[in-house]
Amino acid sequence: MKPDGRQRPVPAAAGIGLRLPHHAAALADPGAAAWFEVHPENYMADAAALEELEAVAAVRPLSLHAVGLSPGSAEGVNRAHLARLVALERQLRPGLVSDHLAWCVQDGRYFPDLLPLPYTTEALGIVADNVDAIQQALGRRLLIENPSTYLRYADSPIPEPEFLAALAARTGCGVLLDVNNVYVSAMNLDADPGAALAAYLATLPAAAIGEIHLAGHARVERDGVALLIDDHGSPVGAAVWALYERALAALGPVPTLIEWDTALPSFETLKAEAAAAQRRLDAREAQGAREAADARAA
Amino acid sequence: MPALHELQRRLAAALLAAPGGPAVAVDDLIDAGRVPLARRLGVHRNSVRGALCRALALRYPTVERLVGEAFFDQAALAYAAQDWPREPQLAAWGRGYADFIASYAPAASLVYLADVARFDLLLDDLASAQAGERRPRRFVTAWPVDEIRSAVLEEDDAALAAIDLTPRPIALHAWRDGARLRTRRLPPATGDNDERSDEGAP
Repeated sequence: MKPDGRQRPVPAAAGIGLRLPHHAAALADPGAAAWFEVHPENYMADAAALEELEAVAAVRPLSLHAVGLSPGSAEGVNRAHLARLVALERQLRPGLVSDHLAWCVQDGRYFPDLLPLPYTTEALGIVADNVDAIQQALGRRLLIENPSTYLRYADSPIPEPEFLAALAARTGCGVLLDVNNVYVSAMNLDADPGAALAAYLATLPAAAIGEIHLAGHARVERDGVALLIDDHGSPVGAAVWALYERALAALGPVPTLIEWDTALPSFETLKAEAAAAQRRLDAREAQGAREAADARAA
Repeated sequence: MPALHELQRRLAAALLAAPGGPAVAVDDLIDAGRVPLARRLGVHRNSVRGALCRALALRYPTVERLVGEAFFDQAALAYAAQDWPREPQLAAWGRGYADFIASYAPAASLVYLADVARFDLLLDDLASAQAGERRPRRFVTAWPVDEIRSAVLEEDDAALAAIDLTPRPIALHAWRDGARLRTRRLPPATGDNDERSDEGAP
């Protein structure tokens, strides 16, 4: 499923997660980022905000990052919500559409969180059916994001990268690689973040990875035991930047988003974070050009 | 290991369980490791509860600041227990909150609080309305909810303390002026809230 020509492609450059308080700043300074990403749920009941977003979409590529499709729900996809997303997609023509490898609906109740899945063959079949339904309704590829993890199910035999790779192979969906989530999950499950990222890069086809997310996290220590919380409320940490550079080295430049949702900083701070990502993307681009020149010379 | 549907039912029940109430056992589902299971589940429980409280606080900012975060969150979670959101666009959730507050015993001494909530809701509706539906709204109340909202949102404690809380008929007119919300008092009048009006912005 490829863009239909009316969509404005998201470039392999740094973007900013756009929140309502920054609409005016983004419209006044659209060059602040190569593209913007929003949660579509924030615009489904706020027509005034949607009008502003349309103005942003007119001058910059947009990505819709859903939080409510619940691709992991055993009860299937909420068709009314999917219809709302399809309507927004038709209206805004985003370059990317994504959601999470998680569930948030049970017995019709919505839980505003990204709840974890056991990685079993049964769950894989359910998520694949749901992703198929979403992609069919949208008429385009969906990216599925690896979640941040705080618990591990007793029966979850498929490693997360293999689960996502199998999902991508079965449905044609892409993967949104959240590097901060890789780090948070590894630390919370007593794994090595570098090895966790390496497993992702070794398991997923590079072409499947359509976007990268970067964000800050909080470290909460209690009784001498630390847990990392993916709160999107601080600058990207040094360890996550290092993982990001490794990901770029393996993948080449990929559209990269700075997420910052809580304790929202100034727009200038977000611009600076995006610029830090862009410097790394530029360095990777230059490295690629050098390698290509060397190959031609050889 | 149960089927996914049953696993999700049990985890949802564990997240919905009230603090201090009977716990829903999920320890057979999860490897806790070095971090206690309750703490791991608590991350998700806090995330869900926090999102619900924030969603209502965005819609009812005067109520939140008037009663304080702790009381507001307590009331918000009590409301959520009665009217759990069924859709992910949380900005559309919570229309019944003012009626809930009117019968919420811990807030009984704040007799004007439900009307403060109704006024917040009216203004939130006006702020999020699409261009063709931004007609001015009328609000009739016994309480000076406009003065309360202004004092609270401007954090003017002196103005708040000086408000005359004697009940009397008050009619308010609310409209959008560009991106700004404006209100003014009307002469005391009868009539329903939010009457359809052909008036333009005054």
